[in-house]
Formats: sequence, structure tokens, C-alpha cells
Amino acid sequence: MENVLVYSDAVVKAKELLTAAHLIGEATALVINDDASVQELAACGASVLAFSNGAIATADTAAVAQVVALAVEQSSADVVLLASDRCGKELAGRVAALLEAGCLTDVKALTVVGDEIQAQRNTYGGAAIATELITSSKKVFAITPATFAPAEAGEAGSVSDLLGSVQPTIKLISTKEKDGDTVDLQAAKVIVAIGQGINEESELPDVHALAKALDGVVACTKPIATDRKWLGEDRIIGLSGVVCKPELAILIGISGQVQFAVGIREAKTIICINTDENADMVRMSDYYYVADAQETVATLKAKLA
Amino acid sequence: MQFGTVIKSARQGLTRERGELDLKYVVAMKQVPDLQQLRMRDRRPILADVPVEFGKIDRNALEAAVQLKEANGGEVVVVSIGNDELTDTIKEAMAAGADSASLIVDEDADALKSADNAKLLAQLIKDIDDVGLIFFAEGSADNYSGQVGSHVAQILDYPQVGYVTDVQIQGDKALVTKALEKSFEEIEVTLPAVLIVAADLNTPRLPSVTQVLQAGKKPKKIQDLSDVDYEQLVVIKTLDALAPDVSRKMQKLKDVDEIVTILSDDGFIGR
Repeated sequence: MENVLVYSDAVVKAKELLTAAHLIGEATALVINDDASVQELAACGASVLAFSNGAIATADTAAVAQVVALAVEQSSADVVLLASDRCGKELAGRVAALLEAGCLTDVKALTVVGDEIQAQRNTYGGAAIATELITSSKKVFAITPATFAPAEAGEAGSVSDLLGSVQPTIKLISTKEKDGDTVDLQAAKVIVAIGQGINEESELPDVHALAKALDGVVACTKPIATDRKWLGEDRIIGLSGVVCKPELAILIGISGQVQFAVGIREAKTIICINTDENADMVRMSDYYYVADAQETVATLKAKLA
Repeated sequence: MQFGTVIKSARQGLTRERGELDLKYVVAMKQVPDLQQLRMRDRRPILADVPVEFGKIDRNALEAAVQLKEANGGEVVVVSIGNDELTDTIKEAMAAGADSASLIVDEDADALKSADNAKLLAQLIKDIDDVGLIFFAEGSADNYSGQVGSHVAQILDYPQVGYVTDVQIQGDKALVTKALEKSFEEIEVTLPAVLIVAADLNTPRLPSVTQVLQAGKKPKKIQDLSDVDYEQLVVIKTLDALAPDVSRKMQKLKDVDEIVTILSDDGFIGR
């Protein structure tokens, strides 16, 4: 039975990692400067290592990596599971270097086969999915959020303090929330995504209304956010955006380049609306409707109102 | 991008605590296949004859370094590891503003994994004097593991900031904006430091004809794997890499009412 250390600064993601850890072995959760999360994770049955040092900011990757290494030592962990969000992904390489461990990031599936932990991740810009193993004795995996269901409260775990001296390496001057309407695509059950087949920004209100009627969120391809700036960058689906797994994805005016498709192909049901029956996205859909995007959105919105 | 997409000059009104020393801005770049031209056969990628280039975010990293040099003085040095084609690919970076390059060119380079590349890049960087900042992209275009910059930072024992969207030099420090999923963090970091830039933080320049012509004359140090003190790490084993099986129903709908029926049957209406 291997010992597994999990760490994410976001408690929900830490709970997801606990679920993954239970596939592998005995789980210990590290929590840094966050008493509420200590209690929440302990309530899920984890052995929690609580590290407190107000001088260490979450953004201080070098210092946090040292804390993770301390926790690895204390828990005799062979496997470290991190969340493959921005914080966790940046941390992964540093922790791996400290532990002289092999490291895989953006892991979208983790399965234990015999005594091997097999990880799947996208490669060649999402054109292929690689199945890989870490062969070093210490292993670091950063797992895409929402790959596993969060662990639920159950038998009470234990809490102990993680002691050790770690110096800050950066100075956090300020934190500013991103403007207003940030969304969490990874948590969304329904996604309505638009691409360059939507011609005018004036069509967006209908798209938002449609998403609202389905209790979903609006997302987009990269050009819609970075070139046309119609939507925020937190709504980009794809390799350089968010990889999400909604129950339903309605994709409007999206041709389906691989860099986008990689972010949505795990959706349970895909409905594609496109003028081009030969679009790549059509081949990746459960249902497709060949029609003008604007008209279809307007009609659909009216019917759902 | 809410914060300035142009990296601003921080030179005026600031005293350089490092005296007249000009800092070097090192940029680590990776040569990757042009993925737009990648084709699959039997669900496997066919890499033969696919042209190579530097990744798009790598070019953002280079542009960030060149802008800092233009604002503060100093030099831009590109470090890179790649197969024989790298001697040609590097010209693109030299034309776009790099002053020199330190390369490992070796036919075995394509087999190297992230951890190997990190160790080798760290060695190249250790041989460069007066390093101020080391730039990486948030992920390479092909593998997107995003771990090499952090790995190098740990080997060199430098502080790091990831997902950088803005940077200014102030004396022996850099003032950096880091973009997380829901917030921006303003961070002060003491040089030397590793900065891992976010995609699209700037628009890389297109070199002029003169710059392209001059690119070949800029100094390059080229070594191969036998020149460096290095033993390949085998920490990752790839069992396979196949195109995903995307087979879905592909059922054609004839009108909007059919969409409504599906949404209704699957319980997405009136939740």
C-alpha cells in the first residue's frame, strides 16, 4: 500500500484528489494556512497535515514546493497528487525537481493496473492521448480538476501540525479579482459554446439567454475571446483554455479544430449547430443540426422561454 | 487582457542598484512540430516531413524579454535543445530580437522528456553570466506539460512566478503580474528569477528583412549531448499515444423542435 500526499489550495479540488488517492493507497492531505479546509478534509476521513506560516503565500511556488516536500517526508509518501489548475501545474514541476520524481501534468484519467499507476494526458496539442507511467520511486501527478468526484464526509480523520522552517521567496503585493463575470467552466453541467460562425457581437444576448434557459454557462473558442474580445478569457475551451466535461455541450458555429475539441470531447452529450455538414465538430457530435447559427439560437431561445 | 499587453519601460527615474551591469534576459524555447500540419494514420501521429517551428507562447516569452531589453538595456539570450533542424529554426528567434543563443543540437534530442530538458537547460543557463530573468512559456505547443520552467527554477534555486502577464524591472527586483483563474496577483521578486509567461501576453513582432538577414551573423554556441555532463533520466514510460476514439452517434436533426425534444428527454429543460 503506497502512501499518497494530496495538495490543492482549493478545498474542492483537494477532495477530488482524495478520491483519486484512495485508488492508490493511504491518503494524507496537506493544507497550508487554511483552518476551515483542515476541518473539511479531516471530515472526509483524511489524515491532514496542517502547515501554518502566514509569510508563505499560495502564489509562492518555490516556498509551497518546499512545504510539499516536508509533508512528503512526514507522511512517507511515494505519490504526490496535485490539481492541474494554474497553481498546481506550476507547482508540479518544482515539487518533482525537489523530490527527484517523475512528473505528469494535465492528467485526465488515472487508473491503477496491477502495481502500475497509468495516467492519460493529451499530447501533440490534443491530437493524441498518451498513456504514460512514472517509473521513478517518487511520483508527481497533477490531475485535471473534475476528473474525480470530490470525497464525501464520512469517518473522521486526524489532524496534525506540519512543522518546519520555510522562507518566503516572493513578496505578494496585492490580489485583484478578475472583472465581474468569471465563470467556472469545469464545474458547469451545461455549456453553450460559440465559435467564429457567430458573426456579430449583437447575437450574444440570445446565446446568453439560451444558456440561462438551460441553467448553463456560455463558453467560446479562443478567437472569440482573444481576437474579437466578446467574452472573457476564462470562457475559452481548449488546450490553452479550459478542459471541461459537462453533461451537455451545445456548440454553435464551431468548426472543431483539435486545439478546441480537446477541451470538450469528454462531454457526455454534444449537440453541434453548424452551416457546414463537413465540419470536424460534426464528426465529434451526438446530434448535429445544419443551419444558420443566429436563426437557430433565436428560435431555440424562443421555444425554451 | 486587463493589464497592459505592452511591457512598460521601468527605466526612467530608477537607479540601477546593480550599477552599470547589463542584465541578461534568457529565454528558453522549444522547437515543436507545426501541429496544424500534423496528420494521423491508424490513430498515430505521423511526424515525418512535418515542419518544425518555435511554439507560439515561446514567441510571446521571447517578445517579453526583447521588450524588457529595449526598455532597460541588457541582452537577450535564447537557450534551446533540439534536433539538427534547430540550427535553422533558431534564426527565427535571432531575427525577432535575440542577441545570442546557446544550443544543444543533437539527433537524439527528440527523445528527451521534460525532466531531461530541464536538467540540460539549467546547465546551459548556469554557463551564462549576469542572468536577470529567465523566461519560459506556460506550456510547449506539443506536450503542454508546463513543468520545465518550474523544474529549472528549482535546479537553479531561483524564485519563480508563473502565468505572467506583465513585468517591469525595478532595480534588482521585478514587479510581476500573475494571472490565476479568477484573480491577478501583483508579485515582487528579487532577481535572478524564473518567469513563466501566459499565452497572449503580447503580440510577437514580425522581423524586418534586414533583421532576418542579420540573424545569421549573431553569435551562437552550439553543443551536442556528448559535450554536456548529462545522463538521460528514464522517469516516464509512454505506453502508447493514439488519437482519441471520438465515435459518437452523429445523428442529423431536421429542425429546432428535435433539439428541444432531446433537451427535454435528457432533462435539461425546466431544471
